[in-house]
Amino acid sequence: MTRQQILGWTQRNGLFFALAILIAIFSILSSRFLTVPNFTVILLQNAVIGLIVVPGAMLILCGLVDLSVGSVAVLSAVVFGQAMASGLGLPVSLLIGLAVGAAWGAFNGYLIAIQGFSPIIITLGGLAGARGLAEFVTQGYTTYGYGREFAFLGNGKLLGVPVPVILFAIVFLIGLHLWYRAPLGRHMIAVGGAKDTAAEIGIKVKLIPFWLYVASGLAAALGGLIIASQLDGAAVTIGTGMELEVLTAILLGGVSFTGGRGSLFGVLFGLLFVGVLSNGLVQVNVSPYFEQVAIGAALCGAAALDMFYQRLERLNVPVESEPIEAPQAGEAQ
Amino acid sequence: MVTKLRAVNRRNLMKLSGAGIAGAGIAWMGLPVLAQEKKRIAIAHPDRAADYYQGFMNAALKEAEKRGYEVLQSFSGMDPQKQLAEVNTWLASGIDALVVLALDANAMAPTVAKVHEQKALFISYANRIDGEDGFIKWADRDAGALLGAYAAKHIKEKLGGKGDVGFLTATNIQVVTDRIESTHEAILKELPDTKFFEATALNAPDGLKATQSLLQAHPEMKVLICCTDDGALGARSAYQNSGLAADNLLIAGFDGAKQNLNLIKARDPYLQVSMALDIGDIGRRVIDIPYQLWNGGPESETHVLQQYKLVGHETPTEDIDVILSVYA
Amino acid sequence: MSAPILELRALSKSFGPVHAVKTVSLAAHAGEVIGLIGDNGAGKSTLTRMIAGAIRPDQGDIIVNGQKEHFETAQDARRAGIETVFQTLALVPGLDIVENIFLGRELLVPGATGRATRTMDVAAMRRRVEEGYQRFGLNLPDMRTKVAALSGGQRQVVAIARAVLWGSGVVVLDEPTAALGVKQTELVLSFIERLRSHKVAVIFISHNMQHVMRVADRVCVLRLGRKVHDGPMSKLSGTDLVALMTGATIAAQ
Repeated sequence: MTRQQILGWTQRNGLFFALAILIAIFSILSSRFLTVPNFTVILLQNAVIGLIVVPGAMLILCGLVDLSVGSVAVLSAVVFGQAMASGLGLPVSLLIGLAVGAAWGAFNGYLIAIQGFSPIIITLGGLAGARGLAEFVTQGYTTYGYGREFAFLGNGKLLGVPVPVILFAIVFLIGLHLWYRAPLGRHMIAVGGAKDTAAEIGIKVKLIPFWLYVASGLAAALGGLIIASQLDGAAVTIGTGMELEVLTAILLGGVSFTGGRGSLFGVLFGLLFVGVLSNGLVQVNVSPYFEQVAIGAALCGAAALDMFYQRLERLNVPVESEPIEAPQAGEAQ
Repeated sequence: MVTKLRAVNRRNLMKLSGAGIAGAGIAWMGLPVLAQEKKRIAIAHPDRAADYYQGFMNAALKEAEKRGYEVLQSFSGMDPQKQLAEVNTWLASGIDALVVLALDANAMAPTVAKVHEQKALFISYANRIDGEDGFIKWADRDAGALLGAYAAKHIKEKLGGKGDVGFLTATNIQVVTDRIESTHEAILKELPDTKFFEATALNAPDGLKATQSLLQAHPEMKVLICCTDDGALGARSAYQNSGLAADNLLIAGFDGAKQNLNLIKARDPYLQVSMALDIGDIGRRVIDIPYQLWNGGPESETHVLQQYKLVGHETPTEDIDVILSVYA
Repeated sequence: MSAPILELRALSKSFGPVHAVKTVSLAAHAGEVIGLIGDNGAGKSTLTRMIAGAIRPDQGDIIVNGQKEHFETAQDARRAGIETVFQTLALVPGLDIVENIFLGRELLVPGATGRATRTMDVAAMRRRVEEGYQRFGLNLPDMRTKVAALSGGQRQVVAIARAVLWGSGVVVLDEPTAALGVKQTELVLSFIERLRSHKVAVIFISHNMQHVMRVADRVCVLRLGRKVHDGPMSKLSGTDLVALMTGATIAAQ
């Protein structure tokens, strides 16, 4: 194994080992931690964020970001609640709820991907705007009580697996396929890492981000509906702070915030790391003060490691390529 | 010909807009005169998403209409910094009274002096700020003592004197920490051996997740005290879908929110208690206190300690309806 | 002699009052390396961009394999079998060699499912590149090395290899050795020499005469938008080329 291979291997698997160590620690501290029911609960607790993380990570890979997800989630849930309250019936209300998310995503995508507005400004606008709209729609009165059929979305189980976890698994598998097996994965790296080159080669540098924003809006809407189903109420508090949870998982997972680099498996581990951490801290009854500190520390650690790896990668290059290419004096690249 | 016509139009347009600007200027000059007749009261209520907000605001607006006051409403959310910035903006625009639910009582204290410099009134509610002109203090600690005693009784009578207690709390809001700490003390006074487990949650989605984690660690936990009614709703969903039996369960919250009161009224097996504030009374008083102070009152109190009412399954439905009427 | 793969007939292009290229004709045959040289402003880059489809000629025709072509975009030129490697190289540093070579034209698994699910045939792409490595004796690191980890010369070779592997009959290289050091230049030039035996016509644009003399079979000299010389490399010396480029004397045929 060459130095670069070792480096790549630890880089790819570092977070996985951090997760394994974390699980080991909690297993020692709490006898109930390492059990099938508890891990089912951890997956259930993170399924909604997980759904949104998949298109979110793809956007960041393209060098873009969607900060409006939490607000789109609550807007979709609230609109769904109003549709149910006005007697439109479950299927139509569900479609309306999802359509709200897709429409907001398309709005983001049009302004950012097609028109070239700043993704941070537009989606920050969405963060405030969609939640404000949700508050306006409810007028302070939360709707609740949607019946058993809708409860299945958030609380149902198939073969012992909670429905939200199944939905997350489906979305994640589709994400894996697109990221690693379909041309889209490479195209996203090209869009995020070298947009002009990508455009020159004929990659759809506008349409790819556009559809990713639509997917992000749709995932946020689905997430909002799942939470509404779990609570059996379209609370205005749905999606509070969601955008930060999504970003934390993605950045902890090692996707570069500037785009062009990252792995979807890393993002899964990032998601689980935060999920295991907050579940485990409750299990071992650590003060609530500590949870935020721990997540913050993990994120800083991940950022520091990422810098470290990148620096090593850069230093390593000339050394590695020397034997292949005869005597080479340190030439400027 | 065409160009000439266009030129004329443009000149007309400029005349018109000039007149418009002049008109607007005159209107602006006239505005303070009008505004002086109607006193302006700014209400900084942080949690607009809360279920009780509308009930509170309805009562306040109704009272303001009666007294002929103009009411400004807050948009700061649960962020102490933002709340402070917003209050300062209001002060700069010249208000007559400031009514605040201070997220950070210490940070709000210097504002009182600024308000007095402008000869305006400072009214606080929920908690107290040094130097205020009037207040409606929520008796958070009294309520905690009440709920703690209730929970201790529940543990003694239904759970054989032994039972773990879970808290859903938040670490940075004084109202919340007062509520939980006092409940904690009251239970401990009756049952010194009780074990307590804490998790963070202010709202329903977080309450759901936190309770799911708590239940994995402590499936036998039967008592869960939530710092808000919204959080209690999330806890209820977690219990409901955990597959655990609902017998002898006690989920309690604070605020007296509509959905919680309705569930208690329907004798929901999960949700047992809401520590209800008289939301309508608070809304009325935040307008009434400035009125009393301005008109040489006090026909009614300007220094109020607002008690919570424990609404449980024993509470008659008619009494719950009275509290619910504020949401109508 | 066989029919040319690429033939330019009296191409002209003006930008306002400036005649950048005036009635230039040129024929390129398979297995031939044509050096296109000229001083700054001689019209090299305008000519290149017309061949690449980036700009359209005012007058004249571009004929590829006997077919008259009108390029609207760079993609049109590529489809007709003309690959142009600009100095920017159009490589994505975050992708490896195989991924870059197939970027935007990934091979999908054959059959309806492959098309419907957009599943890439990763093995086939690697195989194709592996073949290319052997056929051209490519002196490159493992094909799964990220382009970010390659030297300037290696990147140039990857960009040229991509053009050739895509089965283009004509490869236009725009200053491939500019900004490269001695060893890196050697890497690129030796690769271009090897292309000659693979039935590819290479148009090598440079203002470095040593490099042109080393690899070109034929040389074509532009001066002030006109072609002033077109003939076998072997008959010319460096001094002759300088003379042709600057117009100091009219060189003897």
